[in-house]
Amino acid sequence: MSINLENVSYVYMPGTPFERQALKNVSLEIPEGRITAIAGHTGSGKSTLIQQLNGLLKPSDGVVEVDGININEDTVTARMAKRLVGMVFQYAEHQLFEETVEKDIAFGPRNMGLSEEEIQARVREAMNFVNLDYDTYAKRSPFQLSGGQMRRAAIAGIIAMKPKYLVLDEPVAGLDPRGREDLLRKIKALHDKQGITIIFISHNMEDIARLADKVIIMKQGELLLEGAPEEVFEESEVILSAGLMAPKMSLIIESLKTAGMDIEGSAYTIQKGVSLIQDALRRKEKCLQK
Amino acid sequence: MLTEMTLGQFMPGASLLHRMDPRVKIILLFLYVVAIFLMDGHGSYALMTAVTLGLILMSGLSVIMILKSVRPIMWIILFTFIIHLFSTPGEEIAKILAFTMTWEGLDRGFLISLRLILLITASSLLMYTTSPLALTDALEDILKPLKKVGFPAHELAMMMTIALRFIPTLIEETDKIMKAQQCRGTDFSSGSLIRRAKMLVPILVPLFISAFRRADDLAIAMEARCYRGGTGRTRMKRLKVGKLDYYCIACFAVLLSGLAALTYLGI
Ligand SMILES: Nc1ncnc2c1ncn2[C@@H]1O[C@H](COP(=O)(O)OP(=O)(O)OP(=O)(O)O)[C@@H](O)[C@H]1O
Ligand SMILES: [Mg+2]
Repeated sequence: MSINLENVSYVYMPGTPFERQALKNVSLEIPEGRITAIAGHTGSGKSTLIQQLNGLLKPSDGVVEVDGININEDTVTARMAKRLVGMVFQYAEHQLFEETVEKDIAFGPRNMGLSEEEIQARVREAMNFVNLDYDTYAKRSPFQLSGGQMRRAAIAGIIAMKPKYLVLDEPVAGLDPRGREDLLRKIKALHDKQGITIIFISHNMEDIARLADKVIIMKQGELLLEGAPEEVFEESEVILSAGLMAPKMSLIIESLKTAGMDIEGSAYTIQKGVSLIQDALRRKEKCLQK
Repeated sequence: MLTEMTLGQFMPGASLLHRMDPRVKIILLFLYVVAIFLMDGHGSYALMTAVTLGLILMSGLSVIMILKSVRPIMWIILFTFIIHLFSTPGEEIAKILAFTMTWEGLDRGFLISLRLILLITASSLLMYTTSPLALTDALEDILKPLKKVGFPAHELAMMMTIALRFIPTLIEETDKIMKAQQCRGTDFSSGSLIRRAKMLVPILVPLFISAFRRADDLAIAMEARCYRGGTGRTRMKRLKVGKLDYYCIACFAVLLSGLAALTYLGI
């Protein structure tokens, strides 16, 4: 099971002087049970792309399938399929509106028509998950929280709906380093512990390198690269042409290789990179001893 | 969705109408509207319809788009038409219950509806071809003489500029918030009236909060740049009445005299 896009194009405001093609013939697969990262220069169509995934925007052309069901058909199954995809928007904290954090998180589950006990349980679980202490924060107004806490409360509101696919648009934008770290770890845990398929947009290649099983790079509305991180990050030139930088570690490894160091394979995370360099050094030492 | 709305929105272009001085445009439009109100007789209507159509074609905008601006008041037009159709005394066409349709009524209703349509299309033509900024600048300039009697022309224009500037931003914001709440299971298109009204809360609360935040930020930004009201302010882009404008004024004068002649002759 997966989310599939086939030749999806999207045009904003067709038929006016402001017409703008934001997606051009994008075909891709988002596999279930993985973490997929989407990167691209600003305005490359990332947000437009993810809004196709649960029917918020209907493609001008092409087909979007969730678990094999075309979500833009007007059927009950299509509506059910859309609900499998939860979406956390950029600056998600701007959607908070209830009097208390608890009520706000319960809003989604309540709309799903769950029982009161189930809602309670889900709210607790979701708050617990994003590190908001239930007893401290449940009865507070969401507007009395810090920015990072608000963001987490908003994310909890989506998690409480238990989507099968969770899409996050720049989840850590505007957070301090510690808040970023916390939130990214939470997202990873969501995948590891609850088996939720994650799709996230990020500008930070280090974050992508650390988390993603699959990387998608967009450029001016077109799919530029798609594949496993190690394949994608090999193409540092292409990535550069999209206005992005490959992770620093893969750049370091590459320049060490061109400088003549005998490194086998490639690496894009710091740990892997360090061990590759150590291996190379060890080999060199052995050579010298001989 | 919402962002695709084009009601009264500026469409950039380079036509004659786009290049005219906005003050001249506003004043001419004002006179045009007065003329439409005062004119009478089929000849005048035909002339004004032709001129309005000509202006639309000249603006380089799609005729359909301009005609769409009539849609919000379509019901009013229809209502007016029907009232006239049935309430004007004259030769009978048909009778429905106690009401009689008359040929005279048909004629009057048609003319009045046409008048309303002309009014709306002419005004929307101004909105479509003039950027909001130029529009408020022009208004400020036109209202400047009233400053002497304490009328806050500059402040009013600044307020309007800000309001206009933020309409698209707020529409975009509403769109975003609606989408976000849609993802949390809000359904705006079904349910009872009360249910739907309730569904507005999750949109309005975040919208107001963000509007206040924006207002706050803007006020600070303005103060940081030493904004202190209109006195002594100069402009980077000064409005200037040019040859083109005199040409348009001349054409307009000819049109008015033509109308006056037609009305005088009772055509
Ligand atoms: N509501 C809209 N109306 C018209 N054009 C839009 C709209 N939203 C986005 N666009 C245009 O579509 C293109 C893609 O926008 P999109 O928001 O998908 O970019 P993005 O990759 O998410 O960028 P960022 O990294 O800045 O969030 C941009 O050129 C943008 O100007
Ligand atoms: Mg975006």
